[in-house]
Amino acid sequence: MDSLSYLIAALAVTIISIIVYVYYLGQRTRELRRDLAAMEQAQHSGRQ
Amino acid sequence: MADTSAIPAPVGLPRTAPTSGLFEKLTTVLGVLTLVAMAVATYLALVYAPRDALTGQVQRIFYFHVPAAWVGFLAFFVVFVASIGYLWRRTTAWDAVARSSAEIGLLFTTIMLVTGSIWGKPVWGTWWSWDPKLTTSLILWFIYLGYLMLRAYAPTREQGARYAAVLGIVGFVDVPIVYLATTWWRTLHPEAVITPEGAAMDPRMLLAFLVSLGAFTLLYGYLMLRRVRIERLQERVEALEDDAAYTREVPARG
Repeated sequence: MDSLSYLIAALAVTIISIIVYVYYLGQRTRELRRDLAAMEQAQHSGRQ
Repeated sequence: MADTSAIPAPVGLPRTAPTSGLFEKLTTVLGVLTLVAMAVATYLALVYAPRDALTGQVQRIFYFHVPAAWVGFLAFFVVFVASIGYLWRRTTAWDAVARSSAEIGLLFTTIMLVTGSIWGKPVWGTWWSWDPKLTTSLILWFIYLGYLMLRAYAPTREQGARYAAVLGIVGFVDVPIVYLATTWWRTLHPEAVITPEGAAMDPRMLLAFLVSLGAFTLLYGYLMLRRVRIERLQERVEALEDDAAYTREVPARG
C-alpha cells in the first residue's frame, strides 16, 4: 500500500463511522417517536 | 371508588413535550453549519495544506486524527462534569448528558485509535506498539466501553446511572495521563505541535488543522443535541409505561 492508500483508508474509517452513527441516531429517534405516538394514542383512547 | 392513597404515584413524570420547536431548529441549524464546516475542513486538509516533506500524503491523517482525539477528550470532560452534576442533584437531565457524551466520546476515541494505527503502519512500520501514549489511549477506550456496559447491565436505570457517574469521574483521570504521556515518558508518538510558544508547522497546515478542530467540535455539539433528544424521548416513553402500569394497578388493588 502506498502513502495515499493509507490516507484514503483513514479518511474512509472516519467518514463511514460518523455517517453510520448519525444514521443510527435517526433510526432510534424514529422508533421512539413511533412508540411514543402509539402509547399516547392508547392512553387517550383509555381515558375516553 | 378504589382507595389509591397507599399506592405511590410515578415520581418525576415529565409532563412537558419531549422536544421543543427551538431544540429542533437549533439541531437543524447546527447540522447545516457542521456539514459546511466539515466540507471546508476536508478541502483544506486534502487540497490546500501542503504535502509533508518527510512523511508525504499520510501526514494528512493528522487533520482528523487529532481533532477526533480532541472530541474524545472534550466528551469525557463533559461526562466528568455531568457525573458530578448527577451525583449532586440526582436529576435525569445530568444523567442524559453524561450517557450521551460517553457514547460520542467512545466513537471518537475509536476513530482516533484506528486512524492512528493506519498512520503508524507506513511511518513506524507497525500497526500497533505498546507505547505509553497508545497504551493509555487504549485503556481510556476500555474505561468508557466499561462505562456503557455498566449502564446497560445494571439492575435498574437509577443504579446504572449512579455507578456510571462514579466511573465517569474516576475514569476521567486517564485523560490528562493520555495527553501528557509524550511529556512524561519516552514515546514513539510525535509531541504536541502547538505549544504556548507557538505552532511548529506551516501556516497553511495550521489553518487546515484549526478549521478541522472547529468542524469536529461543531460535529460533537450536533451529535450531542441529537443524542440527548433520544434520551428525552426514552424518558417520556418510560414515564408513559410507568403511568400505564400505575393505572392498571389501581383497579387491581381496589
